[in-house]
Amino acid sequence: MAFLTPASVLETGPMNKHSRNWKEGALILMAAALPGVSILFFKNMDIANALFSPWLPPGDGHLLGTNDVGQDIFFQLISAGGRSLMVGMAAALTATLVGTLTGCVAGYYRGIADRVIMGLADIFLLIPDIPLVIVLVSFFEPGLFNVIIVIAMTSWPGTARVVRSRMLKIKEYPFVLNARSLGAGDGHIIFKHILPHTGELILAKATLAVASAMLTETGISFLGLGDPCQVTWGSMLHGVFAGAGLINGYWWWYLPPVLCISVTVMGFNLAGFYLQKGWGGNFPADSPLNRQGQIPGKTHPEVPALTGINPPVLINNKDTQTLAPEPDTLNPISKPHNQAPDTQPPSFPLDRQIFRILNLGVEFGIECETNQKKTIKALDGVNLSLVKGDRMAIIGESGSGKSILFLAMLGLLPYNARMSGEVFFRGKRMASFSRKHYQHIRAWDIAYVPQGAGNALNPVIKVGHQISERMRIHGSISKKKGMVMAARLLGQTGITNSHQRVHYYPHQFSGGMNQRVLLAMALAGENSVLLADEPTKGLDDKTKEDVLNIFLKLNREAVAVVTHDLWFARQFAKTIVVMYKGIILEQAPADSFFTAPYHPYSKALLNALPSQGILNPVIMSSHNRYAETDPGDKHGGDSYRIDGGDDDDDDRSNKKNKEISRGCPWARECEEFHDRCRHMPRLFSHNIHKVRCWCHAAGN
Amino acid sequence: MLLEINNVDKGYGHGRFHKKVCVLENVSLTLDKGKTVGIMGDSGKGKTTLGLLMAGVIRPDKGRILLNGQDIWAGSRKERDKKKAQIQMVFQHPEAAFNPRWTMEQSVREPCHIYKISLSPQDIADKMARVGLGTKLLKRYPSQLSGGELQRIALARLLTISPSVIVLDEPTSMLDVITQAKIIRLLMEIQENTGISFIFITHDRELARVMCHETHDIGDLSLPSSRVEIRIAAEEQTLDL
Amino acid sequence: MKHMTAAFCQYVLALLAVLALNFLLIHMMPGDPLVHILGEEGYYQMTRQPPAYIEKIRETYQLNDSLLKQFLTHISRALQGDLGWSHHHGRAVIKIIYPRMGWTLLLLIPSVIISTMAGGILGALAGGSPRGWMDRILTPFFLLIYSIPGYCLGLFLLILAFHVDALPMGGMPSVKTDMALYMMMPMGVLVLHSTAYKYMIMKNAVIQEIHEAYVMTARSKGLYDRDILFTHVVKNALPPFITVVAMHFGFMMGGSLVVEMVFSWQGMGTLIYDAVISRDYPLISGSFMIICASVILANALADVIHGVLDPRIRSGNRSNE
Repeated sequence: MAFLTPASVLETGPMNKHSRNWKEGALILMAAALPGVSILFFKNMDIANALFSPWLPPGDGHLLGTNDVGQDIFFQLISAGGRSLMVGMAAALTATLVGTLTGCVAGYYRGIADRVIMGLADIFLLIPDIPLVIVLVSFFEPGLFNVIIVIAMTSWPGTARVVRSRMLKIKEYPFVLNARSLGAGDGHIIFKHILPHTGELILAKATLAVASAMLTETGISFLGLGDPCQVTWGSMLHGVFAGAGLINGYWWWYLPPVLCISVTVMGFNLAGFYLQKGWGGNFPADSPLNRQGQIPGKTHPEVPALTGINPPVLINNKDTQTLAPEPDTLNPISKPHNQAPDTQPPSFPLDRQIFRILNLGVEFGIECETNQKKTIKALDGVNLSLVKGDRMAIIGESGSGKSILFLAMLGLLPYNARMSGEVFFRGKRMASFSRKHYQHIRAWDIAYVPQGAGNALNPVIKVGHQISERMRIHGSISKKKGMVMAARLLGQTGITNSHQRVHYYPHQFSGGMNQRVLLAMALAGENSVLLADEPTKGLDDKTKEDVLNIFLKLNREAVAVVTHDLWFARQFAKTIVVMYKGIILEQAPADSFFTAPYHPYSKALLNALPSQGILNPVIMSSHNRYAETDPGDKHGGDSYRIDGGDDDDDDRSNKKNKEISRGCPWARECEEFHDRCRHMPRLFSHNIHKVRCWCHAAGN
Repeated sequence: MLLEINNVDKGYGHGRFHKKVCVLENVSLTLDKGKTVGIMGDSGKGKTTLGLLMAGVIRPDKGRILLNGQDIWAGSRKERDKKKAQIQMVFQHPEAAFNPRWTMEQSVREPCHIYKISLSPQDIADKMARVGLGTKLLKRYPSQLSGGELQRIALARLLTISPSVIVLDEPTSMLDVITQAKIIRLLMEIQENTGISFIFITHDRELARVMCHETHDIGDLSLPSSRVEIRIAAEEQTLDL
Repeated sequence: MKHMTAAFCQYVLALLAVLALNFLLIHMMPGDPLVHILGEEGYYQMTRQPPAYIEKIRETYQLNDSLLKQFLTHISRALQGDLGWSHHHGRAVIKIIYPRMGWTLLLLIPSVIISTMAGGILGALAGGSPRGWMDRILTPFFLLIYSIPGYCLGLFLLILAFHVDALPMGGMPSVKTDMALYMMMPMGVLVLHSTAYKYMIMKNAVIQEIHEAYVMTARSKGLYDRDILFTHVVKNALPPFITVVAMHFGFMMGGSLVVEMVFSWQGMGTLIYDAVISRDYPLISGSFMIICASVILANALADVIHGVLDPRIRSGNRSNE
């Protein structure tokens, strides 16, 4: 768990929203600090100490009046401001330096140094700062220097801890390991790799440290324990309090210092939070250093709020009563670029269709590291039916949109997703479902097995409770009964000793076992439809066989599995759907698919399997006919299909990119490439075998 | 033999009291020039640890790792670095193998930068071509490239210092099947052309069968009885471009 | 268990460190250590005595023994509750501190409880719907409160009380039944300030947790949003939250000292202040020790709670520390 600070307080949107680079952030900080820094020069104004008539209200000659001794409050304010800021900054700077140094040493070298430093840090953290300052000030002479030292002493552990934990994380990252295996020196690694990723965090913490140092200093000065000869905002307030300025209602005396302190502290706090939000805690979306040390795959979509926020916005909000698919000619957004509408009548009677997906499109807008706004099309014009009794396997690689498809079917799309098209569940439009209805369906009707990667299971709740949760909340069975049921289900998935194991926590299980827990969780409700996302990912062969057996024994209305494990698909599925870059390329019965696939991509896929020897030379050709007609683009082309263009300096290939992004997504690598492939083919039907390829254009 | 690992133990501290958990016990392995040895096993059993040990990133608690008969941990800092430079590693997560704030070009130049060898743009273009990519990608950041492209560039980066051994830690498990096939073919091509030896860590048996000349299970490696020894002398490779 | 013993050792070490600090201050500071033992007033009185008497005093306080022996005696005395004698007050330090600490705790403990609950719940709700109305209103509000020093809030409240005349302006109640009235303002300040801090902590924690995969899993099971928030998310956010709350206790302790000054509440704050003014060193260091001890105790308690709440720690699998 990252060390908690009131850091991302203003973070109300996606975590990646405000990524900036060094220069912008530094500029902002300078702009914020400039007024404060300029005041620093005024801390030794003589006029601040000059004496005039006391107790004067604001009037001529004295902007804010005078205090009980006769000093002009306004000039005092400025002079005190400089001093308060100086104390705050000096303390923060010292604390940051010491903290960074110790954190680096502790985190990088570990061992004895780590233990000693962290031990000291823990001790210092436990000692409350104001009492310590009071004690030290009473033993020494009062003076601002002591205040600075003490504040620094109590603040450095915070920075040290944060720096250390960041150091620990990054040290194990592959790019650092790579540098280490190259024999890079410690200096190279620390200064070139680790510190740049820590620098902003340090800056953010330093800024926050200034704020808290100033707060502490005003507290000390207010108590009268600061330097009596040097005025700070806090000591001004001490004067007010001691001179009964409060009771007499001399607002011009006590309000200005309070306002100044508050505004300055708030300014530094805001700056610190902003900095921390932009970099320290939240790297840009695409960056692997995004989330607490986990190494994610591609950008993972934002999850919606838990309460109060509406379901994702639909672009195509037309109210349709009919179930028959109609190409939406009124709303151009719902039609993918250049794609001819798939005017196929439903191949199955409507009452057998559990899910009917029409022209489904899902888009995300994200901001990348280079500050560009990009729209990623996760799904584009998907038409699919899941019918009763079917066992469907949706095959595709990461980026093909298959997981998003399931999320759309469950109504679990993130809030920054824009959806077009329609999804019908048992004949009813899902867009018209209320939140409650969705919850009801997910509880009773559709069961979902999420991908086992990362924290799909709650780490602080027992596995058994998580398995039985659905039944407990909606079916109201007791916790005890739930555990018994969970044990039974877990045993069914092939885990031995399940009666004991249901009391375990997820971290006590291996990855394969957690996958089976997720499966048991989905089986708990005996729901009629099962959607499973990569149930065999990361499992070894034996476990894969177990999972396959479970799936084969299932008796549900319909089961759909998303997988890139072709072996599993072959054994399990009746229908195969092939997806690529958000588009369905082929849909076929399983036997005919594996014996004779139609689409070139499917063929390439099957040939690329290690079990086939990876011998087919076709897959190595980055010099297919497409590249020949366009030599400007040679890089192999497995980047994302992104709208909005890439920031190329080569204008010609930029145009080509845009063009191709409207054509068949496989065109670049296809051995059957023809010119017509620059236009998206529609889905052609050969009986129940559907293919989206011009090579098979002769369909019915 | 090119690389020999003898009786290596490795344990990790675990928890606040740093109780040592022994991940690898008495592991021995040999590797010859121009060959690929596969290491299989379930996750968490120490495959990555073994890979890191071989690449010289972490140090074994007991035992030695010999390259061309010399212990890679013996000698002065310079000698050690020179030996370790011969054994490099390609990681499982392509996006994490590059500093996200550096352009690809900076990352590719890093090894030569560390060894203070200068690299002309032509050299870089050569290496990129050898992995099947153009130079356009060099200006981009890791977040803008796909997994397949990143793994290729990772290989290009290593090729700049011509190692003798490359440890591949599940290099294709994060990639789709087709890209995986391409990378595998690329690796085999590189091995044919340059004679680099590979240690290939994977959990995919089919893949190991295609790629490796011999395969070991990590569980078996730890048993003293199943030490495999093939000894063939090899010439030392120097850093040349 | 191992974790518990480690934490225990750490706290014992911290206590020892505080004791050592006290000892060092007394004996290493410029001037005669006797000043720091007797306090200025006592010292002044003593200097007027014949030298033989002074020597006897030195013997009593073992000032001629080795430093190590003195340190050990110091520790053993402290553990027995003997914190010295205050000449200014004419009583044993511990006896002076005892009731005053009680008053401070009377303010602090309810404040901690109320602010933790309020900040935790509000923060969780706000974190559960980022950009929702709760977030939009409460976050800037609490940010403002957090940026204003506690005692400034106190000053404002004082002014308010002065003009509105509803609540007493500070000081202690003469009758027990008036306690609540007198407590309201100082406690109000403490509660407001620390609720702001805890709100932000919890909100941040919840926002981070919401992005975890298990929340998606929970939603896919059709769980109600409130259930997900409190059963799943908050349960994960609680352990680190509790840790932060405990660390904040030290800060609150310091803050309450200043607030007590504003409202003339006869707790540790005013005690220490008087002691500093009169250079009553035994009282100063004694108060400091007691304060530190209570903060350490609070942290130890929080650690225990943390261990109970987070099963990963119970089985010895400390995350990322």
